[in-house]
Parts: sequence; C-alpha cells; structure tokens
Amino acid sequence: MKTLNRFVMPALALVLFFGTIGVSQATGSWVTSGREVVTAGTTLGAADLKGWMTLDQAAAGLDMPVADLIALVDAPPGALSGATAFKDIEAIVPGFSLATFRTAVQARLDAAPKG
Amino acid sequence: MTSPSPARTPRPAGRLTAYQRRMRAIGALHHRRYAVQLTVAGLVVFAAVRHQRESSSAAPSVDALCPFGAVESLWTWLTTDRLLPKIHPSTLIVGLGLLISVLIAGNAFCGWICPFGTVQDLLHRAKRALHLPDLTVPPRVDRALRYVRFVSLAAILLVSAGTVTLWFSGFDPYLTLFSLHWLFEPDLASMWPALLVLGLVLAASLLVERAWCRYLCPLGGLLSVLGHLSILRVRRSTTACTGCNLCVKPCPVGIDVSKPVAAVSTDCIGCLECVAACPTGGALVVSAALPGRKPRPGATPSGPVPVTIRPRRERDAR
Repeated sequence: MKTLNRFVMPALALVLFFGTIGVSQATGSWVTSGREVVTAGTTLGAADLKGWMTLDQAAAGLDMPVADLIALVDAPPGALSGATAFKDIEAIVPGFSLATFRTAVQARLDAAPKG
Repeated sequence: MTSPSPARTPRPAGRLTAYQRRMRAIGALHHRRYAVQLTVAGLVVFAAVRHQRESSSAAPSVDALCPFGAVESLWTWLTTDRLLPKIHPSTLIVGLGLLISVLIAGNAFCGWICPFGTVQDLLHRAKRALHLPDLTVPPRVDRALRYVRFVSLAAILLVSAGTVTLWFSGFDPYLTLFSLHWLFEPDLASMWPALLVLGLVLAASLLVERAWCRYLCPLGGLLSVLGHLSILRVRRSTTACTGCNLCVKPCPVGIDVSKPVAAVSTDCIGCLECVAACPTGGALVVSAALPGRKPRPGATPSGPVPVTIRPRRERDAR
C-alpha cells in the first residue's frame, strides 16, 4: 500500500473524467444531442422529427416541399421560413405541438401516392 | 520571595503551531476544492445558457453532460435490447469517464466535480453563515435512510427499462436546476412536479448537509458500490489514529471516519475534509492499494499509541 499526496485523488479524478471527454472530442466520438446532418439523401419518418430540426431539414428528410410543411403548421402568412426550427415555432404559433405536427405529417405521408 | 517563573521559550519566527498548521491545511483544501467546484458548476451553467440562447447543435443541453443518462441507457439496452429515445450519446462518454475515474480515484467526482454537490455545499455554507442549526439524524435512521439511494436507483432503472423512456429526467433535481428552463422558459403548469422535487431536496440539504448525496442520489448509490473497487481511497491507520474524532465533524456526508476500520466507507465523496482535519500525521491518508487487498497493519506511518474508540452514540451524547 502506497501513501500518496492527498491531492492526487481529486487531481486524478479530474484528469480521468475530463480527459475521457477530451479524448472523445478529439476523436470525434463526442455527440451531444443526437443530431444528425439532414440532407436531401436522408430518409426521415414523421416520428424522426426533432425540435432542433429546421423546416428545411425536415422537408429534405421527408422528401416534401417545405411549403407543404409550413401549410400544416397553420401559421400566420410569412411567419415561418425554411430556416425556422420546430422548437422556435411554439413561440410563433401558440398551441403548436411537435407531437400533433408529427401526426399531421404522418397522415399526409400516408395519403400521398406511393411510388 | 517567590522564584521567578521560567521564561517561556519564544517560538522561532515562521514556525507554526500544530493547530495553525492544521488550520492552514484546512484552508488550503477549501480554496482548492471550492475553486474546482465553482469552475465546473460555472461551465455547466455556461453550457445551459448557451443551449437556451443558441439554436446551433454546438450548444448541448445539460442532459448531455449527465453521467446518470449512461447508466439508464446501458441498463435499458442490456435488459430490453432497446435504446432510450432522446438520449445524448455523450452521456455514455461522460459515464465512461466517471467509471474510469471512480475505479482509480474513488468517488472524488462527488466531492469535487458534481455541480449539484456544489449547490448543496453552498447551501451548507450559507446555513453556517446565518448560524442556522444543524439537524442531527439519529444514527439508526441515518443508516436506514442511506439505503434509499439503492431503492431509488433500482426504481429508476426498472421504470426506465419498462417504459423505455428517460422518465426520471422530468424529476431529476440536477437537470431541473441546471437546465435553467425555470429561468428562460418558466412554465409552472408543466414544471411544478420537478420544481417541487427540487425545492424539497434543497430544503432537506439545508437541514442536513448534502442530504441528496447521503440519502437519495441514485448515481451516488451506484458509485458507493463501485467504490469498493477503487484503487485510491482514504485509509485510516489503526496504529497512528489517536481516536480524537476531529475527523468526524467535517465530513459532509456524515461518515464515522474514526470508525476502527482500515478504509473509510465507500460513501466517502473524496472531499478530503477529514484528512485535512486530522492532527496526527499518517492517521488518515490517501493511499493506493489494489481492490481486495487488505492493508498491512502499520503500513502507514505510526503515531501515538491508539486509545479506545468510543461508539458513535456515546460521542453524539457528549
């Protein structure tokens, strides 16, 4: 059993804890919010829509025109753009809920002709 | 005619008494610990403010910095083969960092890094500054209440796996406080259960120092178990200890540090208050030993002959 300087204990705890985070950031393994890059090639379902996504990203992932998505929101004309994130819509459109919006999008996808 | 009393030998300038040395050691520890704690808490608050004010993905919510999410995720994945939705992958990294840290350096995370521990320490300092009385929990009740951590850990993991949701995040006092939703997006109608839990926990911490860590923290319960595997621990030399009990009072989580066992309980949060308070060199030390290896008697520097250690209840009655 080796006796150590008492501050070795917290110093090691700090180095090991933050060091692990630092190494993961340096190697690109640090993903903080589960956000993925949504491009035209990404395939999303209505359930995949997240609060941080913009209408443009959702439209690209769902392969729908952004104007159709905006129409589903029931927002005042010109209030929303493709760059608006879902989480910001709540402040613009009182009563907006992402869960309800997902249901509306799913209904729209189900009604669209397959092919 | 009375003989003159012998002149007291003046203490050489710069030479400190044992009491002064002890006070300096305690002061130095406090400065360092509070500096680290406040820095970490400040970083978490900074991250929360950024998340609330910016919409870019570079500003994660504080959920992403909570190691308990990793425990819930891993348990749910192992028991149901499903992943929790809304989980931040970073929590697995934070959990891994904590695991490595605990296995090597003990539970110093709780005493030096955890921001919710910092809040409780600040509350305790405020209480002392205001000269508010301490609530003494009877030893039997204290021992029983410490098991609540394991009950809450089991309940949270079972419900998380059963519902495949992060249901506890809606009540977690760390998330409620540090997410800053109460400041930036106050919504009492939906937040009142979380705010109620937070209020109760803070009130309890005001009455009993680090009440959340002692009795309720599910992560603390898990770390207490893992602490048995730690290489570095605060250990007590049974030969050097004089049984003065000066190490008992400063312990923020109420461990009977002077208990006649070689290693301090795994409830220890690694704050080192007891080590700094110990007046006997080598009686309480941080030492490295492989888990399961019993320290040799007298492995730490020996000191004065030990005295009988009184039972806790007898000391409490004094």
